[in-house]
Amino acid sequence: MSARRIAHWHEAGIIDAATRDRLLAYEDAHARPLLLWAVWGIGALAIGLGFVSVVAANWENIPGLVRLGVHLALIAGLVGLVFFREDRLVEGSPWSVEALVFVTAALGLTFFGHLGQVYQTSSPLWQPLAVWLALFAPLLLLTGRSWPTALAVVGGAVWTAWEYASAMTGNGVPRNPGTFWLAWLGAAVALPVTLALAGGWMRARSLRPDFWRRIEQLALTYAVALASLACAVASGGGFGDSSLLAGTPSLACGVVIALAGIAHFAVRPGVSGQMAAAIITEAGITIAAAEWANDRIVPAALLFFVLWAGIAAAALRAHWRGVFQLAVGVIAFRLVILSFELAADLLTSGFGLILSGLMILGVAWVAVRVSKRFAPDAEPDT
Amino acid sequence: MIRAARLLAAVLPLAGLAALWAQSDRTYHSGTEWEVPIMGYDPRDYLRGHYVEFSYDWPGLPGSDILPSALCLEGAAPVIDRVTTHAAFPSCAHPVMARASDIYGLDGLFRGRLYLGQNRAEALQSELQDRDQRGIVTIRQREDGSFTPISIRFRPLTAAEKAERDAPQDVPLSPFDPPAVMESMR
Repeated sequence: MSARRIAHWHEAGIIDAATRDRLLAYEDAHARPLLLWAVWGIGALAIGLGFVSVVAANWENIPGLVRLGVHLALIAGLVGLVFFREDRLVEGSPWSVEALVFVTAALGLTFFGHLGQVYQTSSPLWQPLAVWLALFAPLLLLTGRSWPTALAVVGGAVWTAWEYASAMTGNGVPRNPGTFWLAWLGAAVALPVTLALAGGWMRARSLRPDFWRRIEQLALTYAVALASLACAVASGGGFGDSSLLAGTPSLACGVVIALAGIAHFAVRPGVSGQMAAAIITEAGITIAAAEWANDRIVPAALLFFVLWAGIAAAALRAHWRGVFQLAVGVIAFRLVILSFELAADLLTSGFGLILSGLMILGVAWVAVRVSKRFAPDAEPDT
Repeated sequence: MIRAARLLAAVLPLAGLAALWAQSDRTYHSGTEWEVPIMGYDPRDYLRGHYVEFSYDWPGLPGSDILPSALCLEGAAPVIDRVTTHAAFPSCAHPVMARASDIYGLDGLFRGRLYLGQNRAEALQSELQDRDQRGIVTIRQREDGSFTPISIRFRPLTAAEKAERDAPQDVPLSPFDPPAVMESMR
């Protein structure tokens, strides 16, 4: 397609013969036959779907032992491929190993459900999740290269922790109402944040810095999400509604995260590392303090503003452009919500509606101005 | 060293899954088979596969609001003559117990589930709707009180059961009687 264009330009006298030849050579080398790829893709998808539906239609006619055997053999084959051919595959494309490892881990997780189906076993979800994490985390940590495997590790840890905590507090009632037990549950929910330490420590030392960077980022994101959640719960007066949403667990959770943040200062020197440590520490303090602001509109909002203003300041310092803009946007959004919390009757009159509309526009305008005026230049290292 | 760690990381998931498989297989095939009548079926279709959810109808268990978490099966396997709530370990030969770690938690003696294939689930659905049949679940009960449902079958209701089922409808309602709720509380 572009070859004809280039010939046209040459005929029109825009480019000379040498330029034309160079352009053609470049286009040849960088050709991306999308249509061909699409046809291949559709064909492969059709075969794959057909295979899946043939297996699914005859599922119960396949003896359980055969099904489980094929499932385990598939996992073994993929693990073997990763183990023996990793270097060669990485030379071709690092993403191929990433995809292989991710698919292996996903197949491993489905094996638990498959076992339950064949042997009629059932157990609370956190148990198979925890076993899966114990069995597959070493593989993921030793061969992961980018965010999908990092997400599998951090996401798996977060999922396990929450399943465990909610299974132990079925219907909001803890199995054991002791203070120590509640503190343990809070700490368990906070544990995935400690993966940030591993990420921060390894990213300067590993041959796969991108993977460890993603681990650190995801764990930090989880800490900030937990802190924001704690502020939202406090704003809605939710502390005390269930045993997990109470003073002791949230205090324990906050303390563990804050300690992880303090340790992070030592683990990763440099501006970026120090700022990440500051954010994690701040998130921990916010969670620990959230119960203090329970059911009080202004303190809960203030806590949230302090958290995100701190994130914005850290982003400014470490030159994280996107994070800074996100923080400004989040603060603006919370301001709008706060105005409605404080003056809910604004929405009941026409004048109030106009006023609140103007205020939203004003907040948005200021947020955009701040974001443009003060946002740091992006640095590759986030 | 890194070579050893990589080998361990590759072997660990395979060995772990294989060990789990072996353990599940051994547990599934051990134990005594008992037949338990069931009621209240609910075919489910979740990601985990098709399964049918049911309530156990233990023979001889007095109706009560308090759910015992352990029962003692009496009779010659697979027929349960009756169950008692005295399931203390030394005296009871065939205990069944609900465990907090089961999917239904301490409700495990009252609700259960059985995984089925899609075709079987569809065939079962029509049988489940037939009021003249009684569902029977076979469980494998082990000495430690754990048990696993392994199959489900149906038998026609006996004449006595049919009479019992149809009985309340024959009683005419009198406006002067106390409401049915109070009746049952007396």
